[in-house]
Amino acid sequence: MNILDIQKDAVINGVVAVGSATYNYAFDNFIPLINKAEFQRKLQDKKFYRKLERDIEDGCVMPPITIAFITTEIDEGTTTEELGEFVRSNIKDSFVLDGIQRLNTLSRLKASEALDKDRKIYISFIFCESVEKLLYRMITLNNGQRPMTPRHQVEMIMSNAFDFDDLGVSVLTEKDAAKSRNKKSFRMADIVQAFLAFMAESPVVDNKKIIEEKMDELLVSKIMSVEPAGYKSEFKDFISALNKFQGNDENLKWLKITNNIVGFAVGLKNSSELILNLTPDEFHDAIIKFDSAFSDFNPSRIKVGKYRRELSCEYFKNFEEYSVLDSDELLEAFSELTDG
Amino acid sequence: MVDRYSYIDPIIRSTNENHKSLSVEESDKAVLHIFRVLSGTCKLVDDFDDKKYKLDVNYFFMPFSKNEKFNQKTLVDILPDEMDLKQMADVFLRLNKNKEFYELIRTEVVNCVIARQKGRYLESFLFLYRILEGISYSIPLMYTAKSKSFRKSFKALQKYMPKNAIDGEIVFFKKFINEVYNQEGFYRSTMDIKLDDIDIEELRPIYYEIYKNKLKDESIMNDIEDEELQVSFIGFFEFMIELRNRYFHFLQGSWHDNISTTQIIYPDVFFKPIIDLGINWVAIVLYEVIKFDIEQLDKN
Repeated sequence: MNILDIQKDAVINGVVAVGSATYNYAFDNFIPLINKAEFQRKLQDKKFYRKLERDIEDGCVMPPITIAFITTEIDEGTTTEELGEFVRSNIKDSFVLDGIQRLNTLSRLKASEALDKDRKIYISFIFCESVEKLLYRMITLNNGQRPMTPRHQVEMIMSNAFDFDDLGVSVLTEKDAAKSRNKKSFRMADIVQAFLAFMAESPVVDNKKIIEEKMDELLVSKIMSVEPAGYKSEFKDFISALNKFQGNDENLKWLKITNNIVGFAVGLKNSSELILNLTPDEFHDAIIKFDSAFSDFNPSRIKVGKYRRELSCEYFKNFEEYSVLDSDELLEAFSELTDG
Repeated sequence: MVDRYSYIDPIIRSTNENHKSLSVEESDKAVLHIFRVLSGTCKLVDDFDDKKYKLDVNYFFMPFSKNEKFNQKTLVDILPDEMDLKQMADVFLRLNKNKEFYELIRTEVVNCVIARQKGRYLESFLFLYRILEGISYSIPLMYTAKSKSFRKSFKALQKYMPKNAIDGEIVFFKKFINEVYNQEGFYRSTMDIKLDDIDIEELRPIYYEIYKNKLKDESIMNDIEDEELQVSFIGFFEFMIELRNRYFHFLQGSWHDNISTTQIIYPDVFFKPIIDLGINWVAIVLYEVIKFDIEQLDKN
């Protein structure tokens, strides 16, 4: 266990130090704290933590945990060496302020052969003389924790990590669209949905009959079940495809339909190379064929939207196979797939 | 037959010619009544006790939710996507399929929901169970008669079909749900038993343990001690069956781990966190059946 840096917290009149320790050290010294903390949280058994368990085993870096000491022995004059010594000898009197679930997850890996136990966990230590001030810190620390919805996170990434103008695609939010006359723009809401679907590898990312919070849970579990190491292509490929094909008005019109664009995004993930090699005219032929097969397929009115989304996904996902079929054969394939 | 309950429609006026077939007062179709009762968009009057019940829980959404307003939009929101009131009125006008099935279920649904309104959760569970038994054989058969794809899988299902066992159709129904709905959002989502529905705080850890004990491990998706159990859709069905078997049967001396009244202390409270979820479960399945019937209508 090493102390890396120290700073005074003037609000709670305490000292905060950042340290690192090996998993081995954590097993012996931090895990036992889970069970003794007086203001302990109930242990949760969540799929999320089971996923984290696998990720830790695979070598992810865990977010820092926070461990607190109530003591008057530490002040801003304490050196990192003295502080390290203090932590090592008093660790059993400390408690976990934040990270009980993470430590609990880690504890399940104690017997794991695959885990490299020399890897590091990072810790914020808080040294404070009063319980009240510590509680104040705990409350301020944990209240920022309300989880962001997956949709919100995607919107955030979207506005920070993609420069759509740079990528040659015009994307407007609902607010901007009301002001603009640009008919060549995509709707931000569609692109967000497409990204979510792309991450979840599933075209079904919304459902009006499932309340948002539940839908978010479902989305998170879909996204979590896709291993990041296995990502076959990037969302940028999808944006490039939009850029490439949008020049043809009919292509643009087709891509501006939510069910099409979302299905297309997921489908492309699997065959991006093939699709990005299409010329705008070839893409045009492909969607004309799709639409012709789809209109003959004539699904019940309550299934039209669902099938359009699922089948456009399926079509581009296995484009190699479907591109050689004519529209009658495609129709047959669609009927076979949905077989109602 | 003497009817105990009559219906009041706060949304569709009886003078509304266009939407007449959606009015619970004008139409006496069981499928419409079930649709409106389970979506919490009508009132029921007990003509014997002279009592009125305002239904406001929409059980077609997952999770079930309370309707705050009662206007046409409330109704539009629960229709299948891409359908409007006019289309739906047309659908309910023409929907004549499986009449006996819906009529049979209607009475049980009404009794179940009324008992729940009265806070008699144990009684409500009894009707819930009757619904489950009532639908578990009929629904797969209704599908089989119509659906090409299902006819194929039905062959596979037949081998699961126990000949004489008491719970035969329940097992059969479970296989059916697994087969037909496993890609649906509701199937992959969870039913969340919330222990804070129990007003008596001391009972929470006790009931938590009993629920957990009666749930299969693989059915529990997420779990917060004494607070919440998130159960898979199919797991919740098995849970309802297990509760009925372990509580309503009380045969002694068997190896079964029955639930005793001593354990439960307060039966109505014990079933309280289960009832809305149970009705939610049944409603979601019935919604799929109604949608299936609408699809058949489109095909003709």
